[in-house]
Parts: sequence; C-alpha cells; structure tokens
Amino acid sequence: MSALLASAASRQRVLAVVLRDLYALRRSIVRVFEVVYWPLVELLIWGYVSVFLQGRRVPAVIAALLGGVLLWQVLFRSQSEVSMAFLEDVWSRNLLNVFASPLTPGEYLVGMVAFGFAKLVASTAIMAAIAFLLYGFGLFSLGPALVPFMFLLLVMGWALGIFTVGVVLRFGHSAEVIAWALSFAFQRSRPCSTPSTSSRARCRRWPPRSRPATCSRACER
Amino acid sequence: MSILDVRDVTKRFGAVTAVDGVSFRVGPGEVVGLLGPNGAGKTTTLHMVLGLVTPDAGEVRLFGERLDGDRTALLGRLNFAAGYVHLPGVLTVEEVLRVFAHLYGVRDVPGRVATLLAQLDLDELRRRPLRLLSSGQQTRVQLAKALVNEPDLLVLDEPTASLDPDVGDRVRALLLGLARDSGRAMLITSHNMREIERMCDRIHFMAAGRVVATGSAPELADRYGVDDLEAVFLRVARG
Repeated sequence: MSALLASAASRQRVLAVVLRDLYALRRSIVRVFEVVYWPLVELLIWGYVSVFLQGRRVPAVIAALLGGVLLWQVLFRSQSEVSMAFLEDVWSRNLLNVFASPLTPGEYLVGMVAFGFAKLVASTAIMAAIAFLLYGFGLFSLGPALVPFMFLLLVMGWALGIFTVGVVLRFGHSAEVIAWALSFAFQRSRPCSTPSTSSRARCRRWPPRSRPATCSRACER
Repeated sequence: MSILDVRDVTKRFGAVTAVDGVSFRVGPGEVVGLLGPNGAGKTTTLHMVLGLVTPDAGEVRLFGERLDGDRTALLGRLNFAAGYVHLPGVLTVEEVLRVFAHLYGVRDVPGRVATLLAQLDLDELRRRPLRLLSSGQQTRVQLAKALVNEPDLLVLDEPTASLDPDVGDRVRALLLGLARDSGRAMLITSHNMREIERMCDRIHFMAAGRVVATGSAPELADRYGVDDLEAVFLRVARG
C-alpha cells in the first residue's frame, strides 16, 4: 500500500512538471512557434529544394531530404525539449524552488521527457501531414524499420538532453550553448551522394523497402 | 523532539571553508534567525538544511531523521522562500500555486489554492502572470508557494530583501501572524536587524563560517554591552 501511495505521489509530482510546461506553452506564443513554425520553415525550405533538385533529375532526393528533415527533427527536438525545459528553470531563477521540493531528479526528467514527447508527436504529425500534402512524401513509406529507427533517435535525443542538463549543472551558464549545438555534432558531415565504403555497406544491411531516407540511391551504387 | 537539528556541519568549496562546524536547533513553533555579514555562511547553511548542498562533515536531521535518508518525505514537510529565487514569470499566480501544490503532494489542490489566495490577499491577482506583478506582490506569491503544503518548518532566506519599507513591514506582519497563529517553526536569514529583533525567539550570529554568538536579541545586546542588534552586528562583523 505504501509503495502504491508512493507511486501515486510520484505521479502527482511528474504531473506537476508536465502542468508547469503546459501552462508555459499555453501562455507563450514563442513556445507555440517552437512546436510548429520553425519545423515548418525547415520542411518548406528543404521541400522546395527537393522539388527543384528532382526537376534536375537528382535521384531519390525527396525521400532523402524530407525523410532526413523529419527524422532530424525527432533527434534535435527530443534533445532540445529536455535541455530547454531545464534551462527555462535556470533562466527564470526557479531551479532552487524545484530542487528544494520533494521532486526527485528522476521525476523531474520523466516530466520533461513526457511533455517534450507530446510536443514532438504533435510537431512531427503536422510536419508529416504537410510533407505528404505538398510533396507527396509519406513518412510511413520508409517502412516498418521506421519505428525502431525513430525510437533510437528519441532515446539518443533524450540522452543528449540529459547530458546537456548535467553539463550546465556542472559548468554553469557558460555551458548553455551546448543545448543548441550538441545534437549537430552527431549530424553526418559526409553527404550521402559521395558515400564512404562503410556507409554504403551499412545502407545495404537494410531491406530495400526499409532503408532510411539518409540511404539515397547514391549510397546503393 | 527538534524540528531541525544541525550538528557540526562543515562545507568547503575548494580551498574556501564556507561553513565550519555549525550546530543549532529549531524546536516546534520556534522562530530562529541566522545573522551575519555577507559571506558568513548563512545561505550555504540553509542550502544544507534544504538538501541542496551536501555537507562535507556533520549531519542535518529533520524531524529526527537524517536528510540523506528519505529526502522526499522530509522535504514534503518543509518549504522555502528567498528574495533571490523567483517563480516562473510566464505562469499566472493561480497556475504557480497549482503546480507547487501538486509538487508537494497536496490532496485538495483547488481548495488549498483558494485558501492561500484568500489568506495572502491574492484573489484579484489570480489570473495575472507573475512577471506583471510588483516586487511586493511577487513576494506574497512566494510566501503563498512556501505555505502551499502547510509546512512544519518554513525556511526563509532574506524574504524581504528588495522590498520597500512599507511592503517589507506588511510581509513581516504577515510572517509574524503565521508564526503566532499556526505555531509553525521558522528559520530566517536577513540583513534587516529590526526584522530579526521583531520576529526571532533566538538568533545565531555567524561570521567566517562559524556561529560566534547565540541568544535572544536582548541577551545578545546585553552580552556585547550595546543598545540593539544592529550594534551587535557591527561588533561581530568588525571582529
């Protein structure tokens, strides 16, 4: 019974973190922009670049670029949602109130991840719908491998977010820049149109219908 | 049993010893003040009481239990407000109180929030974002947040800093009322000597990380052969 009560109390504390982020989102147009506007701008830029390149007969460019943009958003936003929620507490000088409360660090992270996940689902759904309507690109055409691939991106993003929180706690404000920059360090620097032997081999491990968008036809050659 | 028992705690930050073997107690319903010049170790001591900083030596006991034991249960029985800590400015007064009521595991959240809004005269401000409130109004919200779980121990770090004398006096009256009516224990730091004289049953003077004098305001004035606490402060601060 006490374990049950403890877990109910724990759920209430996680709910408090989610509520806090929800109220903040509702009251700030800037935060709503983060969910829809910037991902949409990125999608439109890369969408029209893809259409332009496809007109020049560059192969598989829609799948490569739009799939890449959508999946990149999953990694980038899952990382930034965790680190930004934490930084909001730092910037509003609310951190001591949070950590002097019965909230455990684990509950704090679960609350941030839960709310960030809900925002990410909403944002990705809107972007995927727009990609389909404007460019005829269906995210699910990437096949069933999309599910574990997205899951790994999410976990990776959360891990980077938690790492960012740790670094900011340890080194203070001067380390905040990594909240934006860290996930970019994991972007592929080598374009797939000039693939290395190892990346070509990696792409070939996927069944043809399930290959991630980053494995363009250029990788297969 | 003491509400708070600080036993010989020491905290070092690199080569600097911020707190050096400090001990004191807070009993039920007692209002205890920590006084001292800047850098005396008051805030570090409070942060050790709140579990924000781990002592290098000694221990902090809350309600007879070690703080490094069931931290969650113990922190649920105290609360904290400080002049240098803010609440999320984008949230309204009511939203802030609702969030913290959930954080502290309050059962009847709407009921408790309504009581606090009435108690601290915040009803008219309930739908206003915190960033649009004056310093005095924000301090009242901080106090409402600090009372959300009806704590057995209230830890206040310079609660009236940055307030004008009028608002500061109202906040002091409010805190005094709370201490008298509810019998709630309080641990307070302040640089306002009149505030400490008026509110505290017992005062611990700190200097260079140590407690150098303990007693009520009149006892301390007698011991140092001066008229008031401000003169005691100057004696302690100037060695």
